[in-house]
Amino acid sequence: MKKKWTRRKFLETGLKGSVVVGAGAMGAASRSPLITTRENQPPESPFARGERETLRAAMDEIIPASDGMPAASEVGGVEYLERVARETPGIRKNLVKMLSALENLSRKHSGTAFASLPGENRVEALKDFEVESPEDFATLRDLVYESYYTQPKIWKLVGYEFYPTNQSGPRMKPFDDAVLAKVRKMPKLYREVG
Amino acid sequence: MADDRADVLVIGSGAAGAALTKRLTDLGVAPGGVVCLEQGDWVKPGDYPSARPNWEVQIKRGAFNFSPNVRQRPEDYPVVEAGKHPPGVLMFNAVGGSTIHWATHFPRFHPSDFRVKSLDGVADDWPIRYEDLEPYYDANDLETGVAGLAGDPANPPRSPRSTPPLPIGVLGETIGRGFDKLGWHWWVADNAIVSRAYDGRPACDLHGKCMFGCPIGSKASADITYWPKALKQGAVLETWARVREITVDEQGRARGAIYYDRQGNLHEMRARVVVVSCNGVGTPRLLLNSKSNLFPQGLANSRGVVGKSFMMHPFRTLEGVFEGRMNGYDGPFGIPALSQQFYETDLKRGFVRGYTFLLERTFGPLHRAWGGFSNHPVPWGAEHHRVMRRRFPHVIRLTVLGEDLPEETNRVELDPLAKDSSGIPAPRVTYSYSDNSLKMLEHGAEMGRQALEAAGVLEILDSGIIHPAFHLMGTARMGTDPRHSVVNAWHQAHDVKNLFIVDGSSFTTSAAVNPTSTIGALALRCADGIWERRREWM
Repeated sequence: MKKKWTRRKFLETGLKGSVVVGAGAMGAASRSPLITTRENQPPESPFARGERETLRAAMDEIIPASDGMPAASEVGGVEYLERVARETPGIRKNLVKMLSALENLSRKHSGTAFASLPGENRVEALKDFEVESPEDFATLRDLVYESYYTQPKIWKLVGYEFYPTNQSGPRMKPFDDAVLAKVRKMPKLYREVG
Repeated sequence: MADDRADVLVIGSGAAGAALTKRLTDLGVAPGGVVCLEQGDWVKPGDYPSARPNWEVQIKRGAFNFSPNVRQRPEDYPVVEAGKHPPGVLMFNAVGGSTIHWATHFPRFHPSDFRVKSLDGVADDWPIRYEDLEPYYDANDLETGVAGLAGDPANPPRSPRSTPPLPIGVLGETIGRGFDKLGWHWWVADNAIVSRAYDGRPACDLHGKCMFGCPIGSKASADITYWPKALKQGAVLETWARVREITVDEQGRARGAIYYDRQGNLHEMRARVVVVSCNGVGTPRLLLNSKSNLFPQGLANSRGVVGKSFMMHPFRTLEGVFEGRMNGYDGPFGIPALSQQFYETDLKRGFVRGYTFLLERTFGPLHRAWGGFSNHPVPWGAEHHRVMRRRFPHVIRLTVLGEDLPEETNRVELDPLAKDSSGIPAPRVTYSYSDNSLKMLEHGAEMGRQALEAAGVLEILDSGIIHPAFHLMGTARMGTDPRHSVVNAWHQAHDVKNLFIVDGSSFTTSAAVNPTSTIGALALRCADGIWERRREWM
């Protein structure tokens, strides 16, 4: 279930230390050093705060807001992956590894945290990650896609009707054997065997 | 001394085991006389993921993934995959076997498929003909419930189908027009799904999530077609019964099977006749694990044939992107239509035997984003939404399903290291595509492109050479010569007179069609053979 940030929760968290609010929300100069411990977290998150912010920033470049479609985090993508990571420790471990690799790449090339980079630099960092670790990148990409395309609001936007098997299915035109008129005139195609 | 043996012990409750068991009860085996051991359990309709919004996630992980290596349910065993084209072995271990997650494609062999050596000079002939199997195809169709249309010029005449064809949708009509333009064969496919109420099962409601479970029962799976009737007629089915080995007596006859129950306790079930129906990987595995002084190489394997000649169908898929919506996720996942234009051998093409085009549906938006069946992920970043909009839901899938020829180097053996959770050695499946298969797939891809272009395609996404092993065949093959086969024309093991083997492993050659219809027909025929000779062992 999606965890909602209440104002009270936000302030409680903020009082405990530096807070990185979200990609682009604060300027780089005022950004605190990356916190990689579990302080100042929503208690349920399987990710450290810095990991969470890296994840949010990465997923919004993998599926950005454009063409009338929202970005991945705007439809609860981070919360979805938090839930998946809680349910499947192997996925959590992989995600943490990938986010750390992305973070290291960002610091190596730009000297700063991934979430603090301007958008085009984040894209370049992701492209570098894709080249250096194609399998890991593909895993990250596919998890982001999963967080997005399992959302009913996205289904509506892409014109997909789910039709779960505990409800009625789609209406379809019955088969009309007139479509086979030409084939019916074909000679026998199979080999006879004596 | 009272004889507490079963008359017939059947190992495996899938398409073959279910059909054979029920047939034996029809023929007159007394209640309790047929006992089936199944390592899995019944699947509850409520467990199917097809009602959940994240149903597509099962494609990558989850309890209903198609691969036992991914699922790792307690009843699964690992399958080690090797070779130049390691087969991605797909199976399901439960009451009903792999029919739990199959896509219901239900074509029959052609008469020529039983005479590959005589007609085309390769492989071997089956020890039976199409005509021998035809009445059993009909019987299996009636038990299964089939939607389709008789009259296909690419196949011998057959009885009217149980129910009318399923809708083929915009997708089917579009590709059909393409085939018509080229003057090529195509036909609405037989599917093991009922389009009208049939035999107590409701009509298909077209949800399209067949491979993730049909909780309403329109899709045929052995747990709802054969098993209820078999049990009502006195068959016994023991679930969570994982067979470790088949035992033999001093005369080399099959005595029964030793198996683990769910708690890991060992039991022995004895029977007058033993039937193995564990699929084309599970069957050789069990036989090879059933070593004894009389059969040091494994049961029924005195000539080293068990496990060899593993066949799956060479496979390549083209996903054509069209201007209009194709809504490939609507409608039953059984194929709307197929083409056998290139089925029979024509040496001018540069290879022997042929292939079927399966005109197929697609999954939902997540699978499309992941890359669909052609493995072309939608690009991330700035292009993502544009490309996704172009592709979804605008795809028609055309799959080349080629005939695989038996090669001894393609084989199932016991892996030296891997074991299942009961400590039973796991199978190792080694596979490489032959030159013939690669040429056939290349031809199929080129013809597929022509068909999609004739239908008005904008862009084609080609899977290239892939090797999923949906169909597991050939590893305990039928034949008249014990040097090159494991069982005779009645599925009786050459080495062990009261041992029968019937499932995909029985296939002498693979044909270029999905195997389940033929597996069911063979199983019914095998049951008749066991019954007709029952005085030999009952």
